[in-house]
Amino acid sequence: MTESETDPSSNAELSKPQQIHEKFLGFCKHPASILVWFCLISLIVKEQYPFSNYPMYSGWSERTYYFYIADENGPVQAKSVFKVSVPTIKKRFSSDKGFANSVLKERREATGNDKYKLTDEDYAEAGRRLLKQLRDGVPKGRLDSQLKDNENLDAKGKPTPMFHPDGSPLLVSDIVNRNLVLVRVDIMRKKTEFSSEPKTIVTTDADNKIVTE
Amino acid sequence: MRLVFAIAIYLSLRVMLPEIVPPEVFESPVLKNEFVRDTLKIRPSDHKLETFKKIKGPTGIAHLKFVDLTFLTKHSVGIALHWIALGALVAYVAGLVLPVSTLIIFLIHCAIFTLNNSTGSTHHGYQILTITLLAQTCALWFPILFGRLPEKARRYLPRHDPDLHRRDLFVYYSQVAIAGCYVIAGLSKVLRSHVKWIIDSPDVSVQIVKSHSQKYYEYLQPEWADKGMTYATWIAENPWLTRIMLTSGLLLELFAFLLLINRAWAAGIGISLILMHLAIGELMGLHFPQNIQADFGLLVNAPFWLFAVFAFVGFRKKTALR
Repeated sequence: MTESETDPSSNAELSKPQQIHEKFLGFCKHPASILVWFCLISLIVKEQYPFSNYPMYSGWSERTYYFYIADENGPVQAKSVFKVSVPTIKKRFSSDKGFANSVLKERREATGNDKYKLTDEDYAEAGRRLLKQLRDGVPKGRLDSQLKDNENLDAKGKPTPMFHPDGSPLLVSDIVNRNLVLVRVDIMRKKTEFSSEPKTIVTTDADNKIVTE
Repeated sequence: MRLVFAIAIYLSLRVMLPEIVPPEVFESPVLKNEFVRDTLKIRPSDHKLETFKKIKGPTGIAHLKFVDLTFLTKHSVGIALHWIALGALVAYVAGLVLPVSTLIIFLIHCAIFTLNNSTGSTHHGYQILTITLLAQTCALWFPILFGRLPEKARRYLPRHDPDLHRRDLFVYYSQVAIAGCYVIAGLSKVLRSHVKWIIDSPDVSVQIVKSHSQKYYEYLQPEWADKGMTYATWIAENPWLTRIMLTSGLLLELFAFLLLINRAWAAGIGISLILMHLAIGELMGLHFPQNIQADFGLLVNAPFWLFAVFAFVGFRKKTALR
């Protein structure tokens, strides 16, 4: 232990900056100072794995939205087919690092207009890129796996296998090679009532080209 | 403590890495048992890494030009990593060459989940495990490295009781990491929304409708959509109860650092955090199993309390006999 720590009167002889320095030293020496440094670093660097400022749900709004994938027969099981969660689809489309933002950056660079706002065509292009990433992300081996119907359960309460009308099994490849639709659903709250509004962002064919209706 | 945490680490790595266990093992009567499968989530590995083709929005070490994490997606690399991680985890649990085994596990975990978060979407579920591994690595390497630093530099470093065993520092730093994750989450809410976070908290109902609808579209299970609407309507109809509930959660996050006081505080706050996660899981369909595992393993410290209860009962019996 140093003299300055044992004798409180010695602090009085120190100049103001020296006193601050001593206090800072005292703080640094405390084992719990690690927690303060950790919090500060995380709040400054934000999303840099493994650090994060955990921004989710740090603000509320009366409206929000999400995305889902559909084919001509209706919604597709995102997790069974593409191995991604539905929130991931939204993050890949709308986050800072998402496709909508990368299209926005490209358009702003191309037009030289920093205030350029995305049009429906731009959103469709971002959606096309997202659907391409999802199709390409399905491992080849999984294309052969059979899908299960979660609405129809067997006696043990487990999903039953799905089949085509001709009796052949419905495979992941059958979905991936169809036209796919990216749908955005807006949810709004008015007091105790909730409403949702779906909107098609883009439809792409098996070669991932935009299908215009 | 290390055993529970090592299991949590291995279960998280299994989601990403290719399978090394022969498929017939999962067909054995024990692992085929539905209760075991659903409760312990012991099932063939997902090998999610193979779905990542390229880096889109790098984070952390993925920013470094000489680090191309996409090599991790190769099947042979995944198999090798799986074996190395398994070996390091066994050494970690046994306490063998702890500084090295912990460092290896941290590097593998950090690399894999950095890649996971560099594909254009950010997932916060595994962060608590990686950051705790980083803290444990620091706890083991700081005493080795700091001893070599000049005295002038060491003055700014945290000073620990010289009698403090390395194992205590290991647990203390782990708890600092866990507490930090919650305090940061609380601070982010306060810094961004101030008191409006509490006032507007009934709008969580919109998020509940969203999260349950998203759950529905994952496997098209209709019960998810119905459940979400039931909870959301109740919350919208009871705004003040919602504010009280969410404020208590926010305070728990902000004051999570109190768990550093002693074992009892750690256990109390650990249990409260687990209950908070279970409530969020039920209400919003957002599950954080890794947080629950870390809280249970490193904060609650069930073996210590069980031992304490048995010791107390034994003491009472002995004194009663006299």
